[in-house]
Amino acid sequence: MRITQKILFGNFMRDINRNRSELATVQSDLSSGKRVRIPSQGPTEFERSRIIEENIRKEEQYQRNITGGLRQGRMAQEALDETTDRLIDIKRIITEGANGSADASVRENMAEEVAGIRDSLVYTLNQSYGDRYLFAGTNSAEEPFVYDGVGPGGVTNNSNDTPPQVSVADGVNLDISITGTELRDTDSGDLFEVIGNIEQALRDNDADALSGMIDSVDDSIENVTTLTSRLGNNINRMDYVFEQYESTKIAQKSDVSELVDTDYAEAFSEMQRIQVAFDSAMAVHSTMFGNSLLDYL
Amino acid sequence: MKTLFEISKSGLRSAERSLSVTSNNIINADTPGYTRQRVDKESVGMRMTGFHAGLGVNITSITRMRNEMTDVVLNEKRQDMGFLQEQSNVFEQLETSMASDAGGDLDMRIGRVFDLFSELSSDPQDMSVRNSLLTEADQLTSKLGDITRNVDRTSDLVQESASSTIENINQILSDLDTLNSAITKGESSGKPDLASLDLQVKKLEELSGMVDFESQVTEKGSLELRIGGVLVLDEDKASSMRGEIDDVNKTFNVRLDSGKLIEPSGGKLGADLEMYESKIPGIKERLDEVASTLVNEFNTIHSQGFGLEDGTSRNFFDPSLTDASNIKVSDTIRANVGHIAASSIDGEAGNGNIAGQLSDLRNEAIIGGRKMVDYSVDLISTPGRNLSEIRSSLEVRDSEISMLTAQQEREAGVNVDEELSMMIQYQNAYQGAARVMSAAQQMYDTLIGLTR
Repeated sequence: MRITQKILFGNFMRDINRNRSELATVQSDLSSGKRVRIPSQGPTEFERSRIIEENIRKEEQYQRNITGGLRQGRMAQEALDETTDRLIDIKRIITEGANGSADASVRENMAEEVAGIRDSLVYTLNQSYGDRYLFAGTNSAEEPFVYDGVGPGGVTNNSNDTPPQVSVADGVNLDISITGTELRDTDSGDLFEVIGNIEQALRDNDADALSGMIDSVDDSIENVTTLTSRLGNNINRMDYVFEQYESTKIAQKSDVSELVDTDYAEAFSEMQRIQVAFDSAMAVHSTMFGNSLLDYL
Repeated sequence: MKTLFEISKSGLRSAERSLSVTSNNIINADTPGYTRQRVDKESVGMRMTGFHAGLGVNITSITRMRNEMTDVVLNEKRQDMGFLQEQSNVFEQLETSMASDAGGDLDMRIGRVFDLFSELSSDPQDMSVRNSLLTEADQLTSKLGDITRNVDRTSDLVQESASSTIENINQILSDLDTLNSAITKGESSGKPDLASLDLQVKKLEELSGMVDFESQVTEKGSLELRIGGVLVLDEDKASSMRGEIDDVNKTFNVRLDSGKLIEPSGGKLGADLEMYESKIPGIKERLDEVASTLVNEFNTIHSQGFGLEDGTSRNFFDPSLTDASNIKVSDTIRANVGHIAASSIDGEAGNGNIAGQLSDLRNEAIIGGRKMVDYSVDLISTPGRNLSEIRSSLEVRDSEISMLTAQQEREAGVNVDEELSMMIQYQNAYQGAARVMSAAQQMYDTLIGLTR
């Protein structure tokens, strides 16, 4: 077989170029830490990794929603705890006021105290997070409770009955607060009306009426605690979902890594292999091309 | 006796001629298209009474050592190679304009807009969320615009490349025409024009990278070429072609000066035409589909909702601009992010139902039977997917070509060592012939000496 210089040189150049391009690939794999950076380096891996990344992105957004929701939910929870405490105060006042030993002036003072508690309840339940009133339902640009002497118990309700929600998963929305409407709606009628009646009974010095109102206060307290525990459930659920996202995120990120990241062990051994081939090509080339009849003529 | 001089003279001439052929081989060892030449000789003799006498050597011809079949196969592979190479160049450009390793690609931009609608549904009154939403939506629309502009630019470059390839093909065809007349002239005079034949090989090699053709050699030795079945070169003339471009409808016709249309399907030109007429418009179409789907789906839901400011329903994207090149968030929303509709009920500031529905769109198969983000991942991977397919065929082609080239080189290539050894051989032959002449001379001298 005739082998010309051109064949030798052509083969040499081809092998060297191939080695160099393989070496360049391994080099960028190693230095960037990624095997698949653009689609052409592995179309299937690229697509899969991007789709998983979209899922991660979506779930991270749900996590951000949950974080915001939890902050609001916990604020609402604190306000509800405060409300329960205040209602218990009222119950204490009624018990004392219903006692026969109290006289009209004591009851008048007690009435003032109840009025003060009502004011602080209005203040507490007008709690806002950013621009959002927590107990206003979705009508949250307006203060839910306004003491204007017009509404039941003198307090007008601006809340609607749809609680504010955050989305925590595909198609899953959780209430992050409870509405003012639910809060007011006790088994014994409107919360502020109950308080208003108590205040009125105290001012009227009506001990009999007062003792009949203990049950109403109990109903109110029960209503608030029921709602508080419902909110608590949602908060727990948000916490749980958040943690779940954390753990699936780890799994998904490792999936992505497996798809597109460099396998260092493999890349290094590959580099060694190409290096050896490269060196031998160079060595054999310089020997081969020294061989010429010209040297002997 | 006298024949001795004739014999040695023919030996000297043959050695000299052979030496010049070998020298020419050595000098042209790395000239592209050069074919090694060999001197064909035969011994001359005549019948004398009773015996046969040799009368020296005669050079019958100088032959090109070339396998024409290999050339034909090789050129077919080169047409394929030129096609794949050009496609891979264009897809590489397209990939660069659509996908990057830095993130921030179309899929992420779309995902971020959905993210912010999800955030808005949870916190509809937060102005900073609304502002970020506008920023992300702007980034998405400008990303679509950027990609479209880059794809358009690639399309323009491909069109220019096709036009300049046509120029080159015309040039080569006219060169081949000139060579044809030199070759046929040589052929008819019985002295083949070897240099022109080598040049023809080189020109055909160049041409095969550019366009697909079939070649045929006539009895007179002239070359005939057909592109897409249409004759473009024969003994008499070479046709020239020109491109007829309709940049609006993305058509590129190649017409001969005779008025005939030809349809190149291989080589660089074939690749450029396919990219220009179908692949690039295909990608643009899908980009526009993304844009129009975004506009329609978002507007349909958005216009059922209400912003923070008033009870007016609005579109999110400008409904009159539905192409990837011009998609834009509507001006009223750009002027006041409070107009972004999060609520399903007028006046409920804390209602995020519409924003929620918009963010749920990310889970719905609304485009080509797929989710928005999945579809765009598929879209931005398209050039890369094609590229990776082409690259593996390129490797196969490349190794085929290098095998065939080696095959042809074995036949037609110059082995300098071989030529050098032949050089010595011819030198020796020359010396031998000279010695014969000198011996004959001495014999005559002796004879003439007798008469003195």
